[in-house]
Amino acid sequence: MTRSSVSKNAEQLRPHFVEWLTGLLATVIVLAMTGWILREAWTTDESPPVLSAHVLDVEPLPAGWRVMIQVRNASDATAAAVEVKGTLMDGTTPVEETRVTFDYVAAGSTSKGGLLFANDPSRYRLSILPAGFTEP
Amino acid sequence: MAAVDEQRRDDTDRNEPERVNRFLIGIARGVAGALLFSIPMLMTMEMWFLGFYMERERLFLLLALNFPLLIGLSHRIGFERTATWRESARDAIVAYGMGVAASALILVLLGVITTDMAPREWVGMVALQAVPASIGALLGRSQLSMRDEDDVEDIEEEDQTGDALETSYATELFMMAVGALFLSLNLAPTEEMILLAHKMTAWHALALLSLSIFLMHGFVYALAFRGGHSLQEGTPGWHAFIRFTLPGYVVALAVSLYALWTFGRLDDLGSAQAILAVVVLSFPAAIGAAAARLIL
Repeated sequence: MTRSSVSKNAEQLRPHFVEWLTGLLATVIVLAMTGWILREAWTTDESPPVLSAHVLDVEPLPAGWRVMIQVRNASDATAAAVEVKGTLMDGTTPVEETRVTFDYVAAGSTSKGGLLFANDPSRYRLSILPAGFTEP
Repeated sequence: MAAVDEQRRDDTDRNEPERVNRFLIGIARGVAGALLFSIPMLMTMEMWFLGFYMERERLFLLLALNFPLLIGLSHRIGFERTATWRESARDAIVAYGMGVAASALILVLLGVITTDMAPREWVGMVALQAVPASIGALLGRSQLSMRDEDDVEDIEEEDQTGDALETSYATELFMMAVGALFLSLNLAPTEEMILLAHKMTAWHALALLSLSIFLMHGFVYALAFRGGHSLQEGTPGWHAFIRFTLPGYVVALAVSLYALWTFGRLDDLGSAQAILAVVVLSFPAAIGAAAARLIL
């Protein structure tokens, strides 16, 4: 005999209406979620990730500048090891180049990160481009 | 009247060493339980990092919610037979303290906490680890002890009183939540939960969802493990499915959602990916919930 044997009889008691109400609510929640996932399953296409990056803000640091960036994945496929390249251009000449790698940019999601530059980005043309990814 | 009082005092005096002894054995079992249940998390890299980078508001909420959870758990199983909520609260705080002490000790022993660390780092780490450790400390008494016969009698008496009907249903759901939380805390911090959500398609998720519910129901009703639940004769099987299994699965979903949110795993995810992650974590959570109904 263990203590647990006492409560094992919860099923054997005459069910209270609250139990049926809870059960009904749970059924609705599970069905709603199943429906949502089903809809996702039908509407999802198998195309590869579509990545874009843009600058959120530029702040001076004690040494250099920090450029906060956001990568967006507009597709239904998740990208892993997303590399984003930031380049400061003086006309057509690259002045400085930095890179950052995001572990994941999930399908239909965004990820934030930062690039660090030694030169002031406002004095040059700043280009931020996703440079590559792998499938998770 | 005075004679009766005298007699009662004598009894108390005689039982005093025995009671202290029982309490100490309870504490030893608690430490054993804390270690047994929290070692996987103490040795998980993500749990150390989360200790210092997770949002403080969410960490505080987790620590605050852990206390009523421990009291509820202690009221049902505990270091000692606890009849009153006051004693349950005392045991809960003792378990919490043991969880903190055991976590801190192991983290120092493993070299994860070092003397040159900022307080923000190690306090966060210990606080986070104390949650599973304290649950383990309370469960330690239940799972590592042989119960005495008189314990059972007392408990049966106790259960006769009070509103057995609603209490037992609520208790059932509560125990499922504890089981689900326990496995969720083990798995939610790991990167694998997110990685799996990324690898799976919606079809995989639907299959996993069905399997989770099927296993939950099967564990408790079909396989007839020791401590399995039996239905009254003439009650259709779907009654238990609607009243216990589906609410249990929703509890597992809710606990998974909470665990993932607490560890900041959902912050950057779109809704479709977030639902997949919740379904992935609900698989172990559902099994934990079903197991809790059988074991606890």
